[in-house]
Amino acid sequence: MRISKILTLMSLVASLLIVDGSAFAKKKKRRKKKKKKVEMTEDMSSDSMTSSGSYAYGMAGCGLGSLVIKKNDTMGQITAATLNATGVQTFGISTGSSNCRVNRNMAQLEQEVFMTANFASLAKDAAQGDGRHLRAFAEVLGCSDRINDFARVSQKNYGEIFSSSNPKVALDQYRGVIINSETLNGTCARARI
Amino acid sequence: MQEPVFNLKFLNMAWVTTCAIFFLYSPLRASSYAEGLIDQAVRNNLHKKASWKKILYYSNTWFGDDIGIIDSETFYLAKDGKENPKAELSATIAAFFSPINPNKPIGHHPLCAYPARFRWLGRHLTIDQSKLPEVPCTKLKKWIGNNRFARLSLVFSSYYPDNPASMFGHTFLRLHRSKKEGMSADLLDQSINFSAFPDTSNAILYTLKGVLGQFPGKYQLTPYFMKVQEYNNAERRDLWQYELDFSPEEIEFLLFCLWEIGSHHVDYFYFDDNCSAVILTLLEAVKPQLNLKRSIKAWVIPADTLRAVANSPGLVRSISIEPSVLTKFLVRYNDLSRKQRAVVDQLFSKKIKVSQLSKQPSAASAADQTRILDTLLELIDFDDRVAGSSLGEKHTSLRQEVLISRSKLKLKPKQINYNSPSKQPHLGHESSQIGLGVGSYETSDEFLDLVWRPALHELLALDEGYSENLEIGFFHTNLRYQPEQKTLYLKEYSLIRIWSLPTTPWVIKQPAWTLDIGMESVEKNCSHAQSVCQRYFINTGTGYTEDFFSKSIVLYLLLAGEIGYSKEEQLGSYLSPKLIYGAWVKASKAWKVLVQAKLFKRYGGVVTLDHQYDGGINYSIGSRNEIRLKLKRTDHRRELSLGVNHYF
Repeated sequence: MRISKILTLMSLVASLLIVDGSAFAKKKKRRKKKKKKVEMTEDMSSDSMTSSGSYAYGMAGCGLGSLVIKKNDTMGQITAATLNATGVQTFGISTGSSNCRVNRNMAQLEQEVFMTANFASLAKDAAQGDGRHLRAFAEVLGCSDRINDFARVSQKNYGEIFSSSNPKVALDQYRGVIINSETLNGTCARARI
Repeated sequence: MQEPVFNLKFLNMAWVTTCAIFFLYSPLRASSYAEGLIDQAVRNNLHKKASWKKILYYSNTWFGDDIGIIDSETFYLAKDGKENPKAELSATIAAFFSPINPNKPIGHHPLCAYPARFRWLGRHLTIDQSKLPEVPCTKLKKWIGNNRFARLSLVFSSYYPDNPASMFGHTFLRLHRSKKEGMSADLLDQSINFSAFPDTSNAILYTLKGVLGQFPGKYQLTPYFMKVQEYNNAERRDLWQYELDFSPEEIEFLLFCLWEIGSHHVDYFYFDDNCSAVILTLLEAVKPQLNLKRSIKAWVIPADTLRAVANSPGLVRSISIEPSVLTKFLVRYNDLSRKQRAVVDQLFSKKIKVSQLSKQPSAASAADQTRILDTLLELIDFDDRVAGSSLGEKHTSLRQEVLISRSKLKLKPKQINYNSPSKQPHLGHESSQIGLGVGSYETSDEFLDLVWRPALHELLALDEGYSENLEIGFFHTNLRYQPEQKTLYLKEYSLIRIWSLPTTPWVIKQPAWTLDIGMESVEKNCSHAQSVCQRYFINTGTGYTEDFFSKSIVLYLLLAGEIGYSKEEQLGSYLSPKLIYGAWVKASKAWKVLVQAKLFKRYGGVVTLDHQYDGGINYSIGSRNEIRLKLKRTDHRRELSLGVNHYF
């Protein structure tokens, strides 16, 4: 079935691609350069991860999981890796902090991943004082029940939190603001790391 | 002498037999129970059950044989398991009772590795649990325990003409967390994606290998926010969610199925074993009563799978949109007054500063300023493809300036409903078209046309459910028969034909463009006493559009170029600059008119300056049929035809 289909399509598609391919390649390259988009590719084994010095994220408490922030990457590059950790299954699962028993390192990684993957959107939501990224981040910090106060504090301190365009710096600033906020009064438990 | 020999022989045989019985019996004590189960399973014809075939992803070949779609060698436990559901059933039961291998991690035992099959067997056979080896399967339990989901959605990402590989759209699954225990944030849901893992970045190899199934296709589980960043923001595509009628227990079974597939792969075929087809097989594995793949053609187009799901009674609970940054901008922009839109344009082009916003008469109140700045933010994010932590290049400082001003306004954004039911992608007409037409040349020669096109959408067709202003056609084939000459020939064949006529506001005006690769038969001036001769061409161009009366009339002008080849000496190889201009009128939902003219000069062979035109009037009857009247002038000859098209 496949072979007959392929044979008929092969000739047609091949000729198309010879022409179309180079244009596509150019377009692809250009886009890559331009937007540094969030990429989700590549099968990475756990070995290659440790050797390349990346963070494995979500491995400990939440199964096999994961997202990887490559250390040497420019900002914005997050890779979701399917991990072949056991040889049986590859699935990664991550975030959803309340789902897992989280230790400090994990909470830190979770926050970094969320911040890196959603930096621009979170900044917008914070300035607007509302939005789903803000709600999700409140949950990552452990205070989704105080979302209205969290939103108000984020909006009020937008300038201080997002003075840097580096997600890690912004994360530290954000946590500082949240910890020192009298309104929130320490309810965002995971902000203290 | 004979007797002792006999005795010895007898003794010898007895010894061997005892040994053999002992040897065979003891290690196989558990297995004899398994064999009993295997007998029972085969007697009950369990291997013929659709649900068994579905959890092992068998599909039918053209000859009616079963063949498993998973291409890893270890997924099927029997040697011929890929083709033989019966052998696979026996091997699976035997494997569950196999002793623990001390050389392998205990979690690799089939009981832990194939939990979906084990649960399936438990439903169809009574299994004495005490006869099974004791394996704790801690990793599996932990994984399932950590992943409790309440709802499941099939998500379709809209068409994306910038990237040929995704022109048909894409589908994946979303797992919604239960809203209990403070887990209210929908962005922290999970998604299940099936995609190819390419090993090359060479575009030609990439596509060829994709078509030939040379890449392994694998499932991935990623946080849903990654999908939002990727599709809504970086690629500016809407995501349409079709929530499916799956219970939490069924979703858990789906996770067991995923666990089984795990690192195994399916050779990814761009046309059939693609994201959408494989997602359907997964849904059917969980709900074997579904017959979604039946309605799917030889090549699987994601929107077709969406229609299969939407047309399956009771399967879809609700449909909703996750708007792209473009949709968000357009809806917010249209919500502003004309003067406010002008303020957005001026802020964007830095003609006025953000600090002067409150001085604008149309932005006197804080609420107005909020709406203007929120629209401007979507505009910036659209134009700079802001996604993840990449803030773009063009408007980085403007964005920060706007955000700081915006935070001082202390208001929340205006709530806007982005749902527009008429755009739901499953509403679109079916992707394949077949058509029949009769027509006549001005010389009064008559002809019959037979048209076939496997995919996808034309500007003249009903645009409900499709991306507006976008025509994508693959393998458009037109056979023509002329009764008087008794000739049958290929009149037109197109590998790919794209018309993109975007009608976005001026501030983000995108160029119109076209690409057409194919062949055409020319009936006139052919040498060698042939009545028809062929011309092969690649035609591409870009230009701009202008729309009137709320987009019901679109005028366009494109500068284009064509490279062509023909055996005919008059044509030969040629290059041809072109001016293409036309009008596209959407008179009503069902009535559409397209009139187009081309002015061009061919260099090569005989240099000719020519003017061609064609026009069509289309009336859609329901979403499956249409009547079309066409007038065309090519190569100094006019033709008029009337045809009916059917989508299937």
